[in-house]
Amino acid sequence: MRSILFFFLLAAPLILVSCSDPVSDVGLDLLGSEVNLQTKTAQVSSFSASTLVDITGSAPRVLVGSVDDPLTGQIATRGFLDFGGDFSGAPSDSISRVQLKLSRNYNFGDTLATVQFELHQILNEWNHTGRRSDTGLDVGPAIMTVTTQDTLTTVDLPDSWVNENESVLRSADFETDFHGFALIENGSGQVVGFTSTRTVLEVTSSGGLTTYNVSSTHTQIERVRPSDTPSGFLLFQDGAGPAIELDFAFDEFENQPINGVELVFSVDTDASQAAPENFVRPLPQILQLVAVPLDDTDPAVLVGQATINDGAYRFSERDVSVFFQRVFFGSQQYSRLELRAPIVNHSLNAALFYDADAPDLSPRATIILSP
Amino acid sequence: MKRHCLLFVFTALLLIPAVHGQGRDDGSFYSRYGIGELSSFASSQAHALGDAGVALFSYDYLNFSNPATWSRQTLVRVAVGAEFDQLRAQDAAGRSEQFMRGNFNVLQIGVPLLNTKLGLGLSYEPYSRIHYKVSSDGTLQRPPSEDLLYRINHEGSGGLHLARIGMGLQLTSWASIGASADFLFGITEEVRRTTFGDINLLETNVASSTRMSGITSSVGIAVSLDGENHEFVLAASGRLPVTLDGTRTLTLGESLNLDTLGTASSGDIKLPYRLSGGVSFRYQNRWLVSAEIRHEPWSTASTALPFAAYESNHLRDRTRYSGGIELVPAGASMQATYLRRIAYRLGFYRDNLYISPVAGRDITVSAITGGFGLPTLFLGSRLDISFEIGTRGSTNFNLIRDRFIGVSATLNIGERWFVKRRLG
Repeated sequence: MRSILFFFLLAAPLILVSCSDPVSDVGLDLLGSEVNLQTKTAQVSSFSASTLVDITGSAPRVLVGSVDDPLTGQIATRGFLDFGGDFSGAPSDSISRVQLKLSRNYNFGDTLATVQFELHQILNEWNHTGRRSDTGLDVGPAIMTVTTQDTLTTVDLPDSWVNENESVLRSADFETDFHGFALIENGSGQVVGFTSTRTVLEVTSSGGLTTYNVSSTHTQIERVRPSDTPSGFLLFQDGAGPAIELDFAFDEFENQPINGVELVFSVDTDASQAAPENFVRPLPQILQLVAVPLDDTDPAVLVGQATINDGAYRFSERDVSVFFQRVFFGSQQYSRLELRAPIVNHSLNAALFYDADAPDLSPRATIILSP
Repeated sequence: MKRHCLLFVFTALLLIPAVHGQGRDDGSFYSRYGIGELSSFASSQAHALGDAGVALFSYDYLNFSNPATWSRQTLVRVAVGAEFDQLRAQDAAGRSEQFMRGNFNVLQIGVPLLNTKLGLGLSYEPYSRIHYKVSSDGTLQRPPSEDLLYRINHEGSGGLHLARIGMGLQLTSWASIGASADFLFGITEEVRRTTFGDINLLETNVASSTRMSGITSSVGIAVSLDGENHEFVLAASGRLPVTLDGTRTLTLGESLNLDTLGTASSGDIKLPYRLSGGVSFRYQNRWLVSAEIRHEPWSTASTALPFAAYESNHLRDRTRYSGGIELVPAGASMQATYLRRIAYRLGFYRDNLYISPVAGRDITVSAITGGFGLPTLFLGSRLDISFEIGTRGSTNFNLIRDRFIGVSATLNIGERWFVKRRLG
């Protein structure tokens, strides 16, 4: 046993030695270029207008109005709103007044132009999820015409409509029996957006006030006249389209470990916003980069999103790098990339991107490579 | 005693992974190149004599320089050792650093099958080691964003191990031969870890892991010419070239949920033969002088898997000269004082690395060795303390000069087994 004890005593200092963990810079000169990160630029291999039809169903805003834009063309929009909630009075309470209160939070076009639309009732039950902007809904005859210039528009529904729909408004099945209103433009010079979070349908009865909140939204968008995009640029427009589809020449990065990726898409902000006096054409503040799977029926993958800054959208978040690292190692595949506007900021905002032939401002990807 | 010896082997085997797990400790940056820094351990006696062991016969030590010497065994013998190295490295830019590491050294087992005629030898020892860690800080310019600070850590660990089994046979009173099967195996791992101050960047940890294995064999011959008070031995041994099967996987870890990158690549790694020749002279069991020349034509080596600098203009033929002298003042006397029964050893070696970071430049290693063989209370068992002090390389051509001090301790236990009890 003494020999075993002795060996333990012998080994103990060696085990203790393993605790040290210094880092040295001796020998760096022999490593050469291996001590430096490398950056490489990948050029865009395709950059063109996408045929994507935007999803406007369930957006927190509906658009209504028409605009004739010298840059983006003529666009007409129709908004659809459905409401939900429970009648707060007794079933026997009589309804004296119904008001539709629309809260505006968006303008596109001539801000001095009137906004006029007809109010229709939607005839059938509809589902807003995933509904695209090229689809409309069946509506009944116009209930009334509404003209609005203020931030808050209060529409008093006519007594005839109230009387006709009183039982539905008091029904316990209001959500399923009532299908909402359509706001169909009728001679507007601008497009406005009403936020669903502050738009309500208020029903006044002898039992008090019942407020129905927006439960479904949808905007139908129709491009009446095509855009007139200057050469050297590619137009991106939210809602009306086009979005942009693109890809980069990433072949040389196959199986390469990377530390970061930055995709930069430059915009001519002056040309994007050049417009007649009082004409507003906002830039998209946020854009999303999505990857469309090889099977188009699968949901697209959100790669990242970027805020416009200094005339460009820069996608450089960690998730972007992770996505492309997986692409380079073959564990992630896609058919194409797309630039899209997030649905939560539903609008007609537009931007003129420098196209692939622009000398210094063409879309580009910078990859930081591990040595 | 037999029970003690078995317990000892069992304990040693348990400790091997624990001590060997220190392979991530830092050592010479030269270990980054090729399959790592080569090591060999013939015996604790030979180690103190500059590893000049090819012609060393001994009843007290198993000598793995030459399987022919395994014929001369009278006791079942187990040797287990560990070493502690301190290294001060300096590069051409004047940067210097000090490293320390501890390692399992060797496990050797010898069994006399026919007393002093035929012996069996088994051993397990490191063959090569990679153990370095270097970090570099840099700045990456990213207009219009702020400059990006980063650090890259280059780390290497692992190595090859050598397991041997063979026998030595005394053919005549003056000639012995031996042969062994040598199994080389192991994993080397090189890691590049890149870290940033910017959380949006991926802190990659790219690891290249290479698994290698191969079988070769060694042969040896020793001619012993002895007289009443002396013995002169002339010996040679060699190991055949070996082709290792290598499989390399690249993995990316930590900040990503990715594992193996791509498919594993495979290829052969060819190592050259080793040829050793030497002499020893023992006088009155007091004095022992030993010398050895070892040659390995590494310029013929090749690999299908890329290793740092493992290419023809960086691979260098290796020739190692070593020698040493041992004095046991008491000779074979068991009645002398303890100090007189200690073996005092001094040696040297001059070597050149088989691989060089700079093409066409040899990396020379020179060292003085020494040590003590301390008798224990158990007859036939010794504790050997060895040391070496030396330098490796120079700071010319952007190279590195290592100054190293190594201390190793080896416990040699010898016991008589398989003895038939006789009545009367």
